Amino acid sequence: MILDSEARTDDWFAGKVFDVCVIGSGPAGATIAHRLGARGFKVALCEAGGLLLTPDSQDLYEGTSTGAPQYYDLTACRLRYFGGSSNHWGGWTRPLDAYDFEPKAHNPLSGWPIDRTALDIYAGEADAILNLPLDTAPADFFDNHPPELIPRLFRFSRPTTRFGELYKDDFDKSANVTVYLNANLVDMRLGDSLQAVNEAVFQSYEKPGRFSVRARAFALCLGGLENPRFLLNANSQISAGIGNENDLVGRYFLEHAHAPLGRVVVRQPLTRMICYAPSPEFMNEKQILNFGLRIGSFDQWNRPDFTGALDPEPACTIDFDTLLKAEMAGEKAACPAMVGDAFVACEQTLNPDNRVTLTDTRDRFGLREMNLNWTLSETDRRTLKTAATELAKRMAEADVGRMRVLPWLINDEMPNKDQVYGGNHHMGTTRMSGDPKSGVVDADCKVHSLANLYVGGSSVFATSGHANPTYSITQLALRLGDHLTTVLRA
Amino acid sequence: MTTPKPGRNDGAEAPSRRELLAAAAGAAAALIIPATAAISATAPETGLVLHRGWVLRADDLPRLKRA
Repeated sequence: MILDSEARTDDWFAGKVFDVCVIGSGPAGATIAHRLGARGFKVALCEAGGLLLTPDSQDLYEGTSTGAPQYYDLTACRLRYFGGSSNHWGGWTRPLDAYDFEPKAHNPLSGWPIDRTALDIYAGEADAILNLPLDTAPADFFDNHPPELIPRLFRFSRPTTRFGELYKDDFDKSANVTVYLNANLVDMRLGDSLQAVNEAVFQSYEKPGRFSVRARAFALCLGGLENPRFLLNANSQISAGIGNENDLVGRYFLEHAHAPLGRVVVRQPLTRMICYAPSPEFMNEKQILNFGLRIGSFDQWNRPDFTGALDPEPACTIDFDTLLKAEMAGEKAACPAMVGDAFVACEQTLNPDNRVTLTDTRDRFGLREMNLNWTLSETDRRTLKTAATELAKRMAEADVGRMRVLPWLINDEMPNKDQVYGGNHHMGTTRMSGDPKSGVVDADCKVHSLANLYVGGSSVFATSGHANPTYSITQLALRLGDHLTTVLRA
Repeated sequence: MTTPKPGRNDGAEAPSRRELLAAAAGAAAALIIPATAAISATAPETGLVLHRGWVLRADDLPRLKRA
């Protein structure tokens, strides 16, 4: 059933205790609620927006950013309505690499308390939810690719899954899941011992007053920026905020540093976008982090219907040397299958100063707005530079093509926002760790210091790898649904 | 009041990103100079040379001059 909390009456919540209160209906929240509802649990799914985007809701994402390169407008890089940011998701997917879960000496605090097999078991379900094609061998333009660069496959969600659209009918008909629209989370009230959440407190836009939802367990799924913002704001009983005993909430914000690297001319026509990631040995040798190189065409891979296949039209019979000479002279050859772009998305160093903090400006509900500080470390810049130069070198050595590396990468300059930018991937701000001193949630996504508060979404990522996060968010949500099933049945 | 901007995430198709890419492509084109310009050696042991950002094989430039 889907209800608008603007129309609530006193009897909606009186005496009611849900099994789970899920807050946020994006990929994580919708998946958890759907899974638990299908298993017979009574779920309140509370969404701050309505079924469609409204300025009233979206304006609550106002905030500031600091650091360099300058980050995006915080009201434009996520969506605050039913289905969340899946409503503008680009559909790129791949799982994290197995070695993303392992600690790296040159990235202190890295490593997850789980390994990839804990998520692999959800791959089939994630594939189905995300409308993905079969997992096939990745394209590779090296006959014998260098051991430093491993071919990687991206799969594309087509038609792209919008989680609100996916589950709306099921929720509407469900006797177990009740969706409450226009329910803005403004507080959580803990029990007397401060060890468990008793109720989540909400406000709607027009109807005065607050209302509370009581549940046996709570899953906070507001996104990688709002999860920490809420926890830091939830200081009515704990002054530092909920889950923030070790001053970790909001810290270790991770993005994928995206950068165009330069133009490429290849000998054999490209039929698919080609991707490479570094081997673990190469990362350790160079003291760099994970990255995902992409070779193809900006114009094509930014299309909303891109599936990985490159369109070779207009067909071209110009020989390699002529194409290369033209590109080197700055002439754009109309030969998309043989002249294109190299691009990279890089993992970032765990930096406690990349973080969400609260400002003194308050939103319409009295919660403090956020400031996001985002910077690149020396390791991040070395990773970007190594990705570019390694690809260019290997292409020339193997004579599969030539690449021009953009000057800032060669000259070791600090990149500006036109050269390096985020992917709208907000990760790490309530990171997972087996140790409460290095993470906010445990291996089950439970806030260390509370018995019944869980976090869903990419804020729990302990590291980011280079993979776009929605696939792993979905796997983690399915896993959290299973864990809550076990806990609630115990 | 903010006007919500439609867009796509993953760094793809967001309006600001399209602008960034256009700017980056323009800057790259402006910096490319003809192949007759000076060559700076980068890693001689690999037989590769860096020529105004292009990573080339040592025999590329003489061959391209003739092409």
